[in-house]
Order: sequence, then C-alpha cells, then structure tokens
Amino acid sequence: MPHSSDSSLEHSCPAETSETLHQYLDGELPVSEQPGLFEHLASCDPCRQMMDAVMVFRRMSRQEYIALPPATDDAFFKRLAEQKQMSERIDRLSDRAPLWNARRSVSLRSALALAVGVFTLGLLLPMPSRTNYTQPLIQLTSEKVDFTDFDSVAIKTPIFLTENPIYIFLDGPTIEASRVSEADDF
Amino acid sequence: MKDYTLIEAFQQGDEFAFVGIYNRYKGGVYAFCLKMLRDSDQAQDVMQDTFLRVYENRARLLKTASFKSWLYTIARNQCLNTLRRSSRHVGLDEHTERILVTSETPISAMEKSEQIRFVSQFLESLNPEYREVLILREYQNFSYEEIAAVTRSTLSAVKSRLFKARRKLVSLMGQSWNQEYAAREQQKLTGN
Repeated sequence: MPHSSDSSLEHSCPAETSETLHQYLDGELPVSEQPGLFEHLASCDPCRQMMDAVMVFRRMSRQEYIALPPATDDAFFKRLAEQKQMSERIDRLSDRAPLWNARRSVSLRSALALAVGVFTLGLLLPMPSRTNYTQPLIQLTSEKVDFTDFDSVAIKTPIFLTENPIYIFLDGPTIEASRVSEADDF
Repeated sequence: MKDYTLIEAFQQGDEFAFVGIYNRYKGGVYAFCLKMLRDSDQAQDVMQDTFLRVYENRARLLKTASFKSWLYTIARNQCLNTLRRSSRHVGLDEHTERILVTSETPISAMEKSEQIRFVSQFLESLNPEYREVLILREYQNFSYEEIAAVTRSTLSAVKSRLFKARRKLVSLMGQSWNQEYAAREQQKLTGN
C-alpha cells in the first residue's frame, strides 16, 4: 500500500495521539501509556508512516560521521592565547588610567538633593561664637629696656636718644627703642 | 569528572580544567554548528567563538546541569547571527524541494552519501527555528526541556516546532515512498 500524503496524516489522528507518538519516538512517553499507542499504530497507517519516516531519518542522520578537523584545536588555542594577551593589556591600561576617568555622571536631581542636604546641615550645625576666644592667636610679649644706663655696658660712645621711638623687627621679638640722634649732634 | 568539578576548578584558575570542558563539548557544539550552518569553516569559527566566550565569562559559569544548555545557547545565538549576516536562504524553495522529491534513487536504496545529502538538504530546507529543534533532538539527543532552555522558548513551542518539522519530513518522504511504490508496481507488471 502506498504511503498517504501529509494532508491525510494531519486529519486522520487527533492531536493528542500524534503527540503521544512523538513522545514515544523521543523516549518521553511513560511505559504505562505505550500499549495504548501500539494498539493505535496497528490500525493507523498515517501514524505508522510518521514513525517510519522518523526512524529512517534517524538512521540516515547517523550515517554521517562528524569529526572536528584536527587543525581546529590549534587555531582555537592560538586565538585563546591572543585573547589572553589582549585582556592583560587592557587590564594594564585600566590600571594606568588617570583618576578623572573614574568620574561618574550625576543626575541633576541627585546634585540638587546633595546641595540642599549640605545647606541644611550647615544651618543645623552650631555657629562658633567669637566670645569664646580666651587667648589671642599670637601672644605678644614686650620688654622695656632702659638705655639711660648704657655707660655700664660695652658701648662707650654716648648715645643720645630722641623722643621718636625706633622699631627693630626681627624673626622673634619686636624691639621698641628710641631713635638715636643724628651724627652731627655728637 | 563531572562538569561541576571542572567548572569549579576552572573558576579557581585551573587552565587544564578549561581544556577538559573544551574537549568534552567541542565535538557536540561543532556538530550542532555544522548542521545549522552547513559550512565547515563557519562552524569552526562559531565553535571557537563559543568557547572563547565561555573563557571570558568564567566568573559567571553555572555549576549546574544547565551549563550544557547555556553553552548551546551561545552556539545557537552565534549560528543565528552568522545566518543573518550571510543572508543565507531559509525555508524550502522550489529547487530544494524538487531535489528532495524527484531524487532518482528511492530512499530505501540510497547509498550512504546520498542519504547524507538527503538529510543535509532537508535540514537546509527548514527555517532555522525548526532546524535547531530537530538538530538538538536528533543529533544532540536533548530532551524537550533542554531544547526549550537552549532556544529560550516554551515547552509547547518546542513540541510544536519539532512535530511540524517531522510532518514536513513525512511529506517529503511520503512522496518519495509513493514513487518507490509506483516503480515497484511497474516492475511487477513488466515482470508479469
């Protein structure tokens, strides 16, 4: 008997039976359901044709021995080595990347929220009062030296002091003294 | 050694473990790519790309049975991209159909090489979404669930595609078988 066409197969069996057949062919049909399928196959030509076709296709597809060409492994490991080198280079470059590359873009909303937060925090923090300063930042010490008794020191030449003071600025102390008179006053 | 052990060792820096994974799956992935693309060079490239991706993404490798599905998903996506790029024919055109149907040799009497050619031509005549399902089922022996995981589709979609692909196969074979039957009948008549 010739095999029926595809259209007859589609309409001759319900979808459930067809699915059962495929499940059997794929090894997914429970053993308990197999006797029912075999009974159906005994009386259904289209289902038998489907089964034959799949089995023949399966047998034919097994005829071809698919082997990976031997050079493929070498080519693959060469590519793998190249990729490793490349990724190492990228890693080194990223290590050397300047800091500004690490900048992240911040949304306007986040920036505004941050600004408001900082402002509020500033308002809430207690203001330092100026009255709290008990000690001056720079401590000044002054020492008054009386030059009227200069005869007793090593300076033999009399020095006449004028009324205007003279200021000597050194690294440490500031010395305040009266200016000496002009040379022609001697 | 189980996949889990190999993957864990690979993630800890054992390069030999990666070679183990590669040796275990390279044949299957290559066969899948070859059947999808029907081009040995492209299949080799895609297979290599697939394992390079595995190497790159070793930190994200799944240590479960789904590793195989994940691996084949990468290969499958690469194959589809390759097919898309090369704009290869998809679907059954008249020429291919004629070759399949009017084959001079009956299927039962086909030589080995003819059978291989018949299968290849039939696979190429299918749309990739049907082809991948049939290849994963018939060549890779994947279960319905595994095929669904690889193709990122539902179980019912997998079954629907597989059954449709087989119906097309029956349709083509049925015509060939009818010719074979007619030839046999003719032979009987002339013999009488």
